[in-house]
Amino acid sequence: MAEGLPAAFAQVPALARGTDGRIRLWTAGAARLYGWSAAEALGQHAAALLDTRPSDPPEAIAARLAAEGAWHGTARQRAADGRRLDVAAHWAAERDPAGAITAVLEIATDIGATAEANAALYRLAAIVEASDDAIVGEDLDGCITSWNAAAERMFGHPAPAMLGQPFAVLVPPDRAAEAAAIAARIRAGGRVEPYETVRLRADGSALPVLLTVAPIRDADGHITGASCIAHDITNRRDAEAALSAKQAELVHLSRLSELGQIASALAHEINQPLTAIANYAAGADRLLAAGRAEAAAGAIARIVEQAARGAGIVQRMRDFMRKRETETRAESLATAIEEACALALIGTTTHPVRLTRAIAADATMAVIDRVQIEQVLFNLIRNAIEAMAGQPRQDLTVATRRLDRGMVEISVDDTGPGLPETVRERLFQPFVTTKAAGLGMGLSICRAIVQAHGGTLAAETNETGGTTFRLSLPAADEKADR
Amino acid sequence: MTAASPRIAIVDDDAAVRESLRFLLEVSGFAVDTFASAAEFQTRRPLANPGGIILDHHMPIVSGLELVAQLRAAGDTLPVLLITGSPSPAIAERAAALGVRVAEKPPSEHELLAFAHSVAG
Repeated sequence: MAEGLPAAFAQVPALARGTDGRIRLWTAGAARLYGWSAAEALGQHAAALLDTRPSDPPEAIAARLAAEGAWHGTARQRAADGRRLDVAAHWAAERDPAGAITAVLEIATDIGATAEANAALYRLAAIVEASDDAIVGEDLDGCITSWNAAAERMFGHPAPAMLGQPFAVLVPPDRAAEAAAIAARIRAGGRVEPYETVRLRADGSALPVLLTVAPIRDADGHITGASCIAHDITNRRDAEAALSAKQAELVHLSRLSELGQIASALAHEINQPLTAIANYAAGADRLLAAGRAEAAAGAIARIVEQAARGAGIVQRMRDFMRKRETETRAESLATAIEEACALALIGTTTHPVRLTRAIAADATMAVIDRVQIEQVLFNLIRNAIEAMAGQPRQDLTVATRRLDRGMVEISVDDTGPGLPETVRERLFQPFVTTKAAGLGMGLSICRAIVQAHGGTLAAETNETGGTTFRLSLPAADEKADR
Repeated sequence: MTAASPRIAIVDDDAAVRESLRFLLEVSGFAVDTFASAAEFQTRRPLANPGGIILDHHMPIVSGLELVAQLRAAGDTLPVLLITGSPSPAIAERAAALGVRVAEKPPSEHELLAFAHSVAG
């Protein structure tokens, strides 16, 4: 049999075994692959010597050999030094003229390196699947090519549904430009360093993520797609939001506390001249009743003095407050409204408030102290959100509109239960509050701030039965005379 | 009223309040001595012979209640009307413990004269 093969075939790892399974032919290639010399191998039982374990059962192989004369598959074998070998096996049957199988030729190709590479790939795939971060593969058209278990959990889409989908379905409409920029960067071969953004879950809710995107190259170095890793930062965002809310509250409360202290000091000082006036007036009253008008005149003079003293105290207080005011200038109402909304909405994930902002084209700028007006808006928006808590409809609208005489109006409109008549009458008075824990200072301070700007602040019931607050402020493009 | 009648002492660091109180009480027929501080009261008091004190709580160095505590510690049971601009539970408690009546600033004519009558007839 071997005599018929060209000499070059000796390099192919091959053996031939008889019907008794014993080795009759052993090439140099076989000696190299298995480590047995021809002298050691010839006559040995092939399957025993090499511990051959084919990928198909013996009956199936025998059937193939009988029917087609050949079988191929893979096999695990053992080298002379005990090493396991993975081979691609091609077996062929040698027949006699009658058609009976007289021998089987086994040709083996070592695929150990491939098997090892596959094992390494399986390990990598397992790592991807085990990751808590979503790992998503995309092709150059932006279609998803791989979607790990974490991606299924985070986004709420099962893998079969996502493969082949454009990843754009995960991008909120207001982030479309950002996604396009990423794609362009990847195509140009750049990475995208971890950055915070928002994607969409299957239920439409926003998912805050930390995103890293890198290009994937083939063996020739050509970019074939992108790998995107998304880390869920919802917890961190919630913690940051809670912290921000606390800080804003702290600033707010410390301002109130400061004002409370000023009010207390003012009350104390005013009490002095007031007491003196009361005493002199009571005494003068008695003198007049007793017909002693001349003696009363002295008391009246003292009263006038003390009234002037009181006025002086009020004036000093006004001057003190005025010094603390910062300068007003032309500011964007959209910015002020957006910042106040952002601050007021923090930590309201349990209140599903629908916010609408409507900035009129002719009411975009006003002459204001932005920090103070943002404080007023923050106060009004927070009140609106709290008023609507638990209501079926929670729509908050903040809008601007042009008024005449050089003024603009900002309105804060809610769909809460509204204000009862008794509360509405006293709404802007200090020390009046509907909140159990409220200080009752918020609205009176808000009105004072708006009035200091030359505007007005008022509340009314709107057509949904909720409350609308309207503040007027001087428009920026037209400065009213002051 | 004769000179032997009990006199009302007024202790207050604010001149206008002090003088206006003196005015009202004298017009109502009482004999009055005024003092600008607790220290001044302690110094001049023997000559003044007060039958009662109308006392401002909010004074520098020694407060109204502290002056009363000093008097009570020395065995003095002089009747006192304490005027305070910031009545708090703490002040009310301490005043009660010292046997002192409290009036909120600004005190009414009625409160002042009722006290003066109770002390000096």
